[in-house]
Amino acid sequence: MDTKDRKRKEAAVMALKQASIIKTMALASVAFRNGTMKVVPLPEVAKRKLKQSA
Amino acid sequence: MSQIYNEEQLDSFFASSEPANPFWIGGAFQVTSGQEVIPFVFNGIRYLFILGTPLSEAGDETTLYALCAEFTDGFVPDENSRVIKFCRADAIEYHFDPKKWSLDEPKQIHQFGAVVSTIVERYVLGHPEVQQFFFSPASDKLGTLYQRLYRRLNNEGLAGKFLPILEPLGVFNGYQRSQA
Repeated sequence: MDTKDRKRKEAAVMALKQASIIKTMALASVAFRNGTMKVVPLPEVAKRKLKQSA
Repeated sequence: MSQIYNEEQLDSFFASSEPANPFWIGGAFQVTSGQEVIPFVFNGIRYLFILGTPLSEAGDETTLYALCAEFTDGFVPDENSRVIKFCRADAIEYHFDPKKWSLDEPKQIHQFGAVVSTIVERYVLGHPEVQQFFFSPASDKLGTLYQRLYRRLNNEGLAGKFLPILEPLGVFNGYQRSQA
């Protein structure tokens, strides 16, 4: 993929992601309002050692 | 205030967080059967980690197939897979533009990556029915960071359970659970 094509696709993906979060949050708003939002706890995992920055 | 959700809604995502604790990961809020939001706090700043099926992301099948033709060389993801992304919870617009949402302390990028990795690991372990994951880094730098995180996560917590399934240099990255 050449640079120009890649940049065009990245811009398109960013626009898709922005549209997606607007949609997701609108649905979340409805779910909160209707009391249908469920929260599923996630399993605990071992704490990971953090790599220190240089 | 955000144009797409109000403070009350945001507070609902973070109701279980401890204000005194600058690092926190919440549960998975099931927005629909194919969309989840996992709130988290990093260094006192609130973020949303968002997962959605490819169909929910695309909106309809026609658009999904068009997007696959454009972005994944025609590869059609499993219908139960998830496209993942995260953003600052207080973003008003340009949620995914990294230039606008850099960390307060750039040297904490590895710590931030570790938190994101933990969220992915916890979701993966808690959702065995989800076989494939996709994401599109917002910059080449972030792409490099995510590749490093993937290798580390797959070598440690996920113990080699995931294999890349898309062209490594494509706009989208995709990973699938191995059968081993």
